[in-house]
This record gives sequence, C-alpha cells and structure tokens, in this order.
Amino acid sequence: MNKLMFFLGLLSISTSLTAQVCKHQLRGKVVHAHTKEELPNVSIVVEDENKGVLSNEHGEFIIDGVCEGEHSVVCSHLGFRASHRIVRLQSDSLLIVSLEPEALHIHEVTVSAEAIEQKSTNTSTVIQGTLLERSRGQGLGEALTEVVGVQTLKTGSSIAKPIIQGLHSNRILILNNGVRQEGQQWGMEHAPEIDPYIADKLTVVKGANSVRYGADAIGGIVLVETKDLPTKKGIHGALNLAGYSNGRQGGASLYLEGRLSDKLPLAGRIQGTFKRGGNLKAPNYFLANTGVREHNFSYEVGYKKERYGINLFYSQFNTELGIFRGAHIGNLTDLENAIQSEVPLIMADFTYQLDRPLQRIMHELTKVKGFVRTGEKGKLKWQYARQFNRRQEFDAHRQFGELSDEFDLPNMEFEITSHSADVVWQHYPIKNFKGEIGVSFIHQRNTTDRGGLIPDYKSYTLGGFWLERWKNYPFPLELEAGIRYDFKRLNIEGRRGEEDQQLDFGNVSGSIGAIYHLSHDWHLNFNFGTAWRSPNISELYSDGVHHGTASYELGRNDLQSELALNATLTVEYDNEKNLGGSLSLYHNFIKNYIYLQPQERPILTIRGAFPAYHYEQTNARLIGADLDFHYHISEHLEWQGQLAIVRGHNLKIDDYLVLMPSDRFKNAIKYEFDEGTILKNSFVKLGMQNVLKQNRIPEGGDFAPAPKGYTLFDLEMGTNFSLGKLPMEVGLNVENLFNNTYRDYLNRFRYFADEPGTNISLRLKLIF
Amino acid sequence: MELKFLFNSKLLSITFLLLTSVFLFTACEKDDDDDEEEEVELITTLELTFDDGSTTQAFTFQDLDGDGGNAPSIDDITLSSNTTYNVSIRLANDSETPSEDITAEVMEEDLDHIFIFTPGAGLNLSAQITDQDSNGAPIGLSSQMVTLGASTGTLNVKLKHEADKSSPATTGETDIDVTFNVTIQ
Repeated sequence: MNKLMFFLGLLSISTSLTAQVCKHQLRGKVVHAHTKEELPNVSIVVEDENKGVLSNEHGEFIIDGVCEGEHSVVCSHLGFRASHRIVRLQSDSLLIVSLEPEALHIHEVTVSAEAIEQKSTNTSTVIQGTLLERSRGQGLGEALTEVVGVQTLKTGSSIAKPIIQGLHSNRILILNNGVRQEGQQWGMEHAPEIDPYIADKLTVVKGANSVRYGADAIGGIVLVETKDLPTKKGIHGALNLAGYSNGRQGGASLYLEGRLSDKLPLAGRIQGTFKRGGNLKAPNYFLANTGVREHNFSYEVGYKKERYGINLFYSQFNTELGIFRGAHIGNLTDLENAIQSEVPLIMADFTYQLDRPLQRIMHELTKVKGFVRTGEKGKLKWQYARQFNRRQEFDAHRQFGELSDEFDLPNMEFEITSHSADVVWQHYPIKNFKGEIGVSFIHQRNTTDRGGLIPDYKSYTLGGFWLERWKNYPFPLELEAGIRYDFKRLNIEGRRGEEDQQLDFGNVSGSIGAIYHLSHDWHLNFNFGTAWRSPNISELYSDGVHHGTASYELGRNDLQSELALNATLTVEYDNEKNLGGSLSLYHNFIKNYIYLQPQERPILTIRGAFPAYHYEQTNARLIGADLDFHYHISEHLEWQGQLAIVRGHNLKIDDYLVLMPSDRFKNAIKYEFDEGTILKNSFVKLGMQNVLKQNRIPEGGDFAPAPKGYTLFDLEMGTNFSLGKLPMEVGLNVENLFNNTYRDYLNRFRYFADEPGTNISLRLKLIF
Repeated sequence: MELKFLFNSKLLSITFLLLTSVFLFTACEKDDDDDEEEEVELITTLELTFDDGSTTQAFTFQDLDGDGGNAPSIDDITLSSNTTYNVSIRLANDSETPSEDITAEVMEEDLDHIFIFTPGAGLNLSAQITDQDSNGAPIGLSSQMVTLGASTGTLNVKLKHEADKSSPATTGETDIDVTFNVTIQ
C-alpha cells in the first residue's frame, strides 16, 4: 500500500509548468476514531509538497497554497496510528481524519513536516516533473529557460549562464540546496557549477530581493532544491539515461535512497551523474573542440525526530569543457579576420577528444544543517556549509617550450574557499503573523594561482534579516514585509609590490509585498523590493587583455555598491477549465549600475592595439513584461504561449544597456492522448520560438552588428508505462527541427560560428 | 527496550562518526601553490638588427611591464637609401632576470611560426624572408630588406602562431603585432 502511494505520489508530480494551480486550500478536522473528540497538535503534512501544519485546539487545520492534483497527506500524532490518505484536489477541500489510537505501545512517530513554505509575493516559477526531466541533461542554464523571462548568456554552446529579466552573473543569486553558490560568478564564461540532476525542483524568483538570502539578488534568485529524504522504510531509486544526437552526447544519472526504520529515523541518499559529449555540429560544419566531460556525485544522510533533526550533505561537481577552437584569437586583427570569415577559421571533424582551449572546474559543497522545535511556537534552523571551487583555464596558445599533454599547467587558476553559517528562527502563526528572523556569516578566501587576472582576497560578510507575513483567511489579502542589513569587508592583497587594501560595503535592504485574491480565478501579486551587491573583484581590479573578446579591461577600486529598486505587478488568471496564465510587469531601477565603457584610446601592446574599456557606473532602468498562458482548445489540444520583453537603459548617457535579450515569443501546441491501458500521460508537442533581432544596443564597443532574428521549431513526445512493476518515463525531443542556421546576440561566440543544428534526444527514466 | 535504544543510539553515533570522517577525507583543499604564482610568459622585447655589410644597427620595441601600465617604448628606424640589409630578429622576456631568450624557442617550433613584414604605403622598402623551416617554408627570423629612394613610412612586424604559411595574414593567432616608424634617407 505504501509503495503504491509512493508511486502515485511520483506520478502526480505535475507535468506542466504554468498550468499548475497552487492556490487551493485544504481544510479539515482531526478526531479520535472512537471517542470522536477533537485532537489538537496533530501534524498534517502534504508530503509531496512539503507542507505541513499542526491542528489547533479544536482539531482543525488549514493548509493553503496546495496545488491541484493528487496528494499524499499524512496525519500523525503521538499515541495514534498515522493516517495516510490520497487526496485529489480540484478546488478548496475539506478533509475529516479519524485517528486510531495505538493499541499496544506508544512508539515514536516520525513527522515529516518541514518549514511551512510560503508563496513568495515576488513572481516565482517552479520547474519540476517532465519539464525538468527533458531539459536538465543539457545543464542548469538550459533548464531554466523554460521559465518565461529567463534566457541564457552563452559562450559557445557548452557554457550557459541564466539571464533573469535582463540581468546575469553577479546580479543573480543561485542557492544550491540552501547554500549561496560561491564560485567565480563574475566571469561571463563561468557557468554555474551545479549538476541539474541533483535538483528535484528549480525555482526562479524574479525581481530584486535581498532580504531573505542576502546580497546579489538584483535580477532574481534561482533555487536549486534537492528531494527530501524518504520518510518511509525501504530502498528506492531512479535511473536517468539521456542521449543526444548532436555531439553524440550521452549521460546517466542514478540515485538510491532509503530509510532504516521508524525507531531509527535515519535516511540517506547517494547520487551520481556522468556525462560525455564530443564536438557539436552547426548545420554546415562541426564546431571544433566543443566536447564536454562531466562527473558529479552527492550523498546525504539525515536523522529526523519530531522535535529535532540533523542532515549532512556533500556534493562534488567536476567538469571539463572544450572552448570552441575557432574563437581563440591573439589580437584585434585576428578577431576581425574571424568576423570577416563566413565559416570558422579552424575546422574539425567529430571527436570526443578535448583539446586546448579548455576549462576544468571542480566544485565541492559540504553542508550540515539541523533544526530544533522550540516548543509550540516555532523552529530553530541552523546550517553550516563549506564550498571549495577550483577553476582552471587552459589557453589554446601554447607558451613557448614543451606543452604538457596532461594539462597540468593551466594558464589561469582560481581557488575559492567559502564558509557560511546561517541561523534562522521560524515562528508559527501568532495572531495571523508568521515569519522568520535570522543571521548569516560568510568567510571567503580567493586566490589566483596563475594568470594574475585578479588579486588574492579575503572577504567577510555578516547579515541579519526579519521577515513577516500577515494573513487572515478568508480575508483575500496577504501582506509580507522584510528588512535586512549586510556588512561586507574585502581585504585585498596587493600585487607586484602594491599595498594591501581594505574595502567595506554595507547596505539595508527591504521588501514589501501583497497578494490579493480578487476572485476565485483572478489574483494580483505586488512586490516592491530592494537588493544590492558590492562591486566584484574583477570590476574593482581587473587589468589586462580579455582573450576571446580582444579587449583591454580596466577595473576601478573606487566603485560603489549597486542598489536596485524593483517593483513587480503580476496578474494571474486561471478558470481551472480551459484558460490560465499570468502577466508580470516590472520596473527595476539600479543605482550605480556597473558596466564597461569603451575608452577613446586603445591600449598598445606587443600584440598590437586593443580597444580598451573601463568600468563605469551609471543609473540604469530595466522595464519589461513576461506573459505566459495556456488555453485548452479541446479536451486533448492545448495551446501554450510565452512572451518576454525587456528594455534596458543607461540613464546617465541616455543609451541602451549591452547584452539585453531581444523580444521573444514561444508558442506550442500540445496534444494529450487518452490514458491507455499501457501508456499513460502520453503527449506530442510542437513548439516554435521566435527571437527578434536586437536593435537596441549601445553605441560603439561591439565588433559586429547584432545577428538577425530567427525562428526555431522543436518537437517533443513523451509517455509513461510500466516495465514489469516499475514505472518508466520515456521522452523524445528534437531541437532545431529544420536544422536552421542562426546566430544569437546573447552568445559571446556569435562572431565566430553558427549555433548548433538539429539535436535529437532520447531520455529514459526508470523508477524503482 | 532500554538496551535496544542504547544500541540504536550507539549505531547512530558510529554511523555519524563514519560519515563525518568521510567528509574530512574528501574535502578538497586549496593547492599549496601560493608561492609558485606564475605569470603567463611574456615577450617584452622585439629587436630588429639591420646589417648592411659594414655596420649594424639595432632597433627595439620594448614593453617591460607587459600589457597596460607604462606604454611601450618604440625606436624609430633610420635606414640609408638604395641599400640591402640583412635583418635578424631577437625576441626576449626582459622582465625576468636573467633575461629569457625567446628567439631560440621560436626556432625550435619553426613549423608553427612565421613572421610577416608589411611596409606601409609610401615607404620605399621591400622585405624578403631568407630562412626556411624543415618543410622549406619561410620563418622570418632572418630576412633581407632592400631600400630604394629616400622616404618615410611604417614597417609592421607580425609573428603568427599556427598559421597556414601559404596565407599567414588571415590565419593563425597573432603573438606579435608591432609597427615602427621608418625614415629612409
């Protein structure tokens, strides 16, 4: 029975990103099965949504924001046999639960109630289920583009960083399993070091909001969340296999998880991913040296009682990325030659062999977290994490003399070690208020062991926040407000005999938001938030030629912190029959926006003259709209659409901001088949993406005009069936269906080569 | 019951101890290579030596602090008209002591390197590479330059790496790209 529910729970994972309605209320009452007396303090948990409450003195409970669909609900209380129920939610529902007293002896009941998650007043979108499955074989950045308003900033085809509402790199905060991802985010060719297979759920929170997680969230936050450890006895797991025609890439990911017993509530999981790909192919030629090798693993162990729990997590990410050979240039003339040429100046055939130029990155996360329930009032959570990141870059240009085949001499090497500690106290509702208060501390040491691009430094960050939510159901308004203060100190070691420097940055952030339920179908979200970030080390201190872009970049150590003021209004509609969607309008004003300003005079070097840029500050404004909707034309046929528009302005010099995504539309027609006796959840989907040409680019500073707009088609099919008793999911995906030749403005290698052509992929997931 | 609980908590502590030790063993550390900071190899100096058979003159392009910082110093070249010069090139990294000779390293990898000499418009000078790599293709460490009548202009010297030696101007990576002002009198 438990097994069946486990599978039902898995199958009920939503397959749709936007169609999911998560506003239902599950209300109910818990009574003694024989005496019918009302039972207070019973834990009621919607397992698959990780939501839970305790019943009040009358045995009543309310759980808000529950998604449409089937849920596994567990009610448990000391001295009673836990009740497991499958609840099918289509609208607000009432649930009456009778608990049988434990006849023989009182044994410990494990409660899986975690933090009472609250829907953000910011616009947030969740990627999980099939949507996550189909895209995660290609990396985290790619997976996030399922969300309207999220694009990727690419360097070739193997490096992709998320852009949220026009902002990327240090203006996006990525939380990997609850820990701020700390690598060398400042680099445009530095992709997030996270295995997408580690994630059970990706959440994109758009808009500035520093309050909960600290600095850097100027454009938004990406939350990478792992699955909770199992709460039932037994061993389970899943195997994912994915193969791609382009690059002849293959990948496999496996996890195994289990739990000992109710007496010893110790649970664990091990997970590993392996990926290997060779040279990708544009419609007319192979892209030299674009292969990838990746192997990642993680493990997690948790011990959880009702009143306290502790959890250990470790993950390691290792990747080797070939950098497109045709993009490596020595000076400006080489760049101009490459731009002039219709095809890359260096050609290759297919190979899995990786050669210089190359990046090799290792990222390690070790985390210990725990909680203690503090009486009936709340819960104290703490977390310590250590991260280590090593980034090695190998230039194509061999230095004179012997070149080692083993790549043991990178041209650049950065190592960063971060320690972070967080303590948060969450309180349960007190007179309609619930919230959390916390402090965090981060210590970092970053060294540049080779290349000397940035100086060595240490940084210390101390922050504290307080966030409260007011809600008085059924009153249709919810309010949220928060405040935070952070202080950051950078100790920079002088290079080449320069003096050491100390820089201090501090800032107050705040946010206020509201959700108003206009009617059952209509909802309004408003959020006003601030965020800040201190200038990063390369903006402060870089001084040298940036290879690949043939430009000389000069940092400034008198830069001030960036400060963002963001207002977002979202209207959501869902009639739960055939039409649903949301429209977000946002205005993001960024004071002291840091950007590269072209200098009049080039810098003369022995390799010729390079155009020079220095970091400058301005006030910037980003305004935009994100729209997505789905409409059921008939019972089987659904139309899905997305539209993202963003405009970025440099207000001081009245010009555009560089690297802003151009307007783009997505349309898809999805046909869902009737449930068969063997095949379930079968569908075919034809998608079309239109990307317009970016005509709004700043004057000067670019080497070639923005490429033309393009239209791409893709086809997707998926189904579920059982292999013996084991559920299996199969998906077939064809990207760039018609093998169109195009280049994208947001790809930094657009000067050198076309984007990859058709890519057919097959993925299998076996759950056991 | 008591015993069982004890056993469980013991088992638990052992498990945690084991796991913690796994953590300690697998945690990666910074390389201990703080002292070995290595800069990318620099070419700071390009020296052209002109030999007309009786006298030799040397002209240099030198940028001791590498890219950026202080501007490079570039000698102006003065040559006699209607003269044939044997020209040799010396490359060095003078930012180190002792100075590192890079000419020999180019010579060692002669198949991968080629110099290109481009006289600017108006300068009455022509250049011809005289040395050859093992495939019989030009290198350019040695060349012959012939001046005609008095004139002024520029001479551009490029060193290309992994270029196609039949069309070096548009292929390969540029290691050196230096322009001298030249007066022929």
